[in-house]
Amino acid sequence: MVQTGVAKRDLVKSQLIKPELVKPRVLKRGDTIGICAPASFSLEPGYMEYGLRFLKKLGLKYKLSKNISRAWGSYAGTDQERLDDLHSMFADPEVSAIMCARGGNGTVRLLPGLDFDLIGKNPKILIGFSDITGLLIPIHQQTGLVTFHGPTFGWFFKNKYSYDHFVHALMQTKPIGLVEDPKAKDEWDPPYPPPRMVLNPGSARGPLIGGCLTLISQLMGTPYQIDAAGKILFIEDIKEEPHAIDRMLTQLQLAGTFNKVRGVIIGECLDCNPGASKRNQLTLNYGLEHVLREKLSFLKVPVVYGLRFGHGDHKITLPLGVTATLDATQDDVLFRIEESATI
Amino acid sequence: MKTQGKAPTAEKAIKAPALKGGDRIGLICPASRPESPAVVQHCVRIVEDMGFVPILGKHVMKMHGYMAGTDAERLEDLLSFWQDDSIAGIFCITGGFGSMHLLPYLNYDLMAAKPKVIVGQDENTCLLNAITSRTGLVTFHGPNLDQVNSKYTFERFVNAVSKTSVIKSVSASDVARDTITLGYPFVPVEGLVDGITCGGNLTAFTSLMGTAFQPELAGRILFFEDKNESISTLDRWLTTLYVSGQLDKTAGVAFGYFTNCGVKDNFPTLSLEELFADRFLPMNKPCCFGLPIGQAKDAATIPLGLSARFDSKAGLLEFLQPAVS
Repeated sequence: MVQTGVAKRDLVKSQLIKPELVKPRVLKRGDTIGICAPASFSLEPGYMEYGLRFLKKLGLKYKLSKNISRAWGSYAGTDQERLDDLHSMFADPEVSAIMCARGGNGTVRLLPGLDFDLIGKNPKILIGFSDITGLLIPIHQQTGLVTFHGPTFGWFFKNKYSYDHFVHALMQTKPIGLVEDPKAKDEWDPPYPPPRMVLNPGSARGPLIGGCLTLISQLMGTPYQIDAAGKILFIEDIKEEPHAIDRMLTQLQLAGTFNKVRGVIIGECLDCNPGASKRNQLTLNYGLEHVLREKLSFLKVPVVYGLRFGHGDHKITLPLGVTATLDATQDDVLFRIEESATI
Repeated sequence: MKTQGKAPTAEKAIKAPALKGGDRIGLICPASRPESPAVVQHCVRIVEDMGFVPILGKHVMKMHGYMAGTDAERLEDLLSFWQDDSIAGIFCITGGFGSMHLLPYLNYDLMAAKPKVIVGQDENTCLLNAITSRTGLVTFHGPNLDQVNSKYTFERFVNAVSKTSVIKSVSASDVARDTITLGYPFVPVEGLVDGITCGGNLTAFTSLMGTAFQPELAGRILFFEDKNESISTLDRWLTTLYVSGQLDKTAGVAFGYFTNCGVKDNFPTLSLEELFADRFLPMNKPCCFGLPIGQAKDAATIPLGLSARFDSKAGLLEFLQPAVS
């Protein structure tokens, strides 16, 4: 039986017309969170309990999508099942915000069938990271909706830093403002990379766009390819060898993605050092920092490496489409999300 | 069986002069560095056994991270051989990563004006596809010299670069039927189609998507191989080709070896064959698995940009014109 694929839809918006920015309504106590799994299958039910407990603490109710516990290979159900779940969450007037159970793989498979018109008519918070980037960028670019690169359901309560950023981004209309680093326990065993390594100094102001680099690469050549012109681009990845990061950055370079970019922020990039991915190893003498410097430090815009977003435990929630500023000197980096993400 | 649809022809195909015994061949590393000088010497001997005179590029043993020298050094080896009239062809010693760095700096006019045989695979897929799509020159997806490991591989390599008539067809049954998984194609969609050959390493090929070097896929007979990638990652790249809308326009797809591309996650997953077949069934696009293409002992050399006929049921790729002049 054929399980793959979804009925194709025509794109609502032409590629030439950029939609107006649409901000979702702020999340309030008493609101309902819809949880679905558009990529890989969900956590064990027991582990879900932790997240639900934290939702309760925030005064939020929840609704699980119909197929959330299904599995098709490593995907959380067939493409059609995952797509139906995502559509039903956008269509459901009781659901104020949509959280993804986890990333993994599978969102890009849904794009040909995704009903951007339905999403445009029912703007609401959508949050996730990693493979969810495959929804955040296309939905933002097609509908203008501010989408949120932030924790999936199993992550938002990992620590106070991630939790506070998550709560501020979704539950306050006040701009997130100056982003600070997680507090170190003490001076010993400092984390690598340092949270704010300046690869290229400079100042930038522009809307945020970005996500997991593998997904940005996967969208290249499709109608949902990233448009970073005039924007601050943020990227991160996990378990990709430096040469694989090199390949994806070279792809973006050859596509002209960096041509009009205003600034670049690279996240923590866990296990992207040589030999860490346990696959496809080339020589082990060229670290990620080399690749980043070689590929990005020639840009005429600020480039900063190490901010805590992406796959690490500490996560900033980054709203796509919202204006931010980046001021990087050799001594200091100021990253400020100056516009509100919700209304 | 009749072929489906109108046969496109590679009208603008430029053919390199056939290689002859005694021809001087430039050996280069446009991507990574060879494992050791022993590998380089081995490659030199293989080229001698083919009847050619090997000339080593100046920078093949240079080291710059995972690459064989800086971009400028690797570029210099490639371009200086191409400019040199005494060099008849260029063979790659190894793959890895780095050939895609060179694409914006190649002299495509020179390559079209002085067509030469160029052979490689793995990440050199980027180099070959950029040259073929920019110039129309028929390039050769064949083993990097450090992977010429069998009589079949050796003979198909020499046949492809030196025969002025149509070269031998490539069939799943070329490989010894000594295990159940070898020798018989897995055929999700049967069909007989004509088209122009295009493809190579799936990861490298899809890294050209969205770039100024993205190959035209319409009317192409695509072929893909890969090594050491997870099924999940390979499904990502095929999904890119699908979502781009380009896969719909291809004539058909032949899959070669996916060496050491197993399940790398702890999650139950579908096989590569299931995931890929499921893509092609709704499109009714002829495809099969099991052609001897890619990184394994017995590997055929496939000209890129050449008119061919693909019979997915038989697991057979026939060429319709000579690959060299």
